[in-house]
Amino acid sequence: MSDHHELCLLYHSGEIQAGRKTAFEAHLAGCPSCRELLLALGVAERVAGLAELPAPAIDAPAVLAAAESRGHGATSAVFVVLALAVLAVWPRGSDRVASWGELDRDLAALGAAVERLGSELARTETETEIDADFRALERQTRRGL
Amino acid sequence: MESRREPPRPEPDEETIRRLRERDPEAFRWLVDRYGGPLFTYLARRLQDRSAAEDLVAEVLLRVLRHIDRYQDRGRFSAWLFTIAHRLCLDHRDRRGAGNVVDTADVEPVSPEPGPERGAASAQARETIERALAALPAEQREVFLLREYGGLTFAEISDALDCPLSTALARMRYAVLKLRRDLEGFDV
Repeated sequence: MSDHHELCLLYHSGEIQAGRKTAFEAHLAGCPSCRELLLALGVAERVAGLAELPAPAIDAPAVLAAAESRGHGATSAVFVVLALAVLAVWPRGSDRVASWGELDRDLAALGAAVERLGSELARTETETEIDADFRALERQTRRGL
Repeated sequence: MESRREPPRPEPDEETIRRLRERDPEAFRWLVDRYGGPLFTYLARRLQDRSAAEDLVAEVLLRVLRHIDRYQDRGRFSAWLFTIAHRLCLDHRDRRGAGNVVDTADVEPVSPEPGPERGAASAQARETIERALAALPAEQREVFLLREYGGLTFAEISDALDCPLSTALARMRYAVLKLRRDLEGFDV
C-alpha cells in the first residue's frame, strides 16, 4: 500500500499528524485513487451504521454480583488456617526448644504446611469464581437474553 | 475534502470509572447503554454467531468490572474494553477448536433486527449489507469492526491485534474497497 493510501486512512480517522494534513489535502486534489478511498471509507461508515445491532438484554444485577464474588471468604480462611498451622507447630506452655535444629525442623514443617494450604485454597478460590460465573450466566439465560 | 466522521461516542469520565470500581449500578447501567450495542455488534459479526455473542457481551462486561483497577493509565477506555473483547473472541475460537474454521461463504449472516437506523434501508439492501460484511475475510473484518464499532484508532487497533500499523491500515483499506465493490448499486 502506498504511503498516500496510509495517510488517507489516517486522515479519515483523524490520526494524521497536524504537520502533514495540509500537504495531504493538497495531494487529494490531484489523486483520484485517494479520493476513491475516501469515498469508500465514507460508504463503510454508513454501512456500519446501518448494520449496528441492538444490544441484548443484560442482567445487570447478575453481572454485578458475579463481579463481587471474588472469593473474599477464602482470604479470611487463609488467615485462620495459617494461625492454626502456627499453633500446631509452635512450642506450647512450658515446652522448651531443645535445640536450634528442632526449631529449624519446626519452621520447615510450618513452611510446608502453609504451602500446602495455599495451593488448596487457590484451587478453592478458582472453583468458587468459576461457579459464580456459571451461576450468573445461567440466570441470564433463564431470563431470556 | 474534509474527513466526515461522526462525533466520537463518549468515553467514561474519571467519576464514572470511580463509580464502576465501586460497582455502582447506575455507572454499570451507563456502561451497558454506551457499549452494549457496539460491543454486541462487534462480537456477533466477528464470531458470525449471535448466540455466542450474547454470552460474550456479559463476559466482557464482567471482565471489565473485575479488572477495572488495572485500567489506570492504559489509554482510552474503549480501546481497553474492545481489546478484552478481542481476546475473548480468540479464546472462543480456541475452545471451538482451531480446526473448525468457519468458511464465510457458508455462514448465514447475523440476522438483521430493527436497529437505530433501520428505516433508512430496504430489506433487500440490509440483506446485501449483511452478506457483504460476512464475506469480508476474517482479518479484514476484524480491523473493520474494531474501527467502526469500537471506534479504535488505527494505532489502538495495531496494539490490540499486536500487528504493525501498516498491516492494520492495509486490512482496513482492502475491507472498505471490497465493501464498496460488493455494495455497488445500492444507495448507502
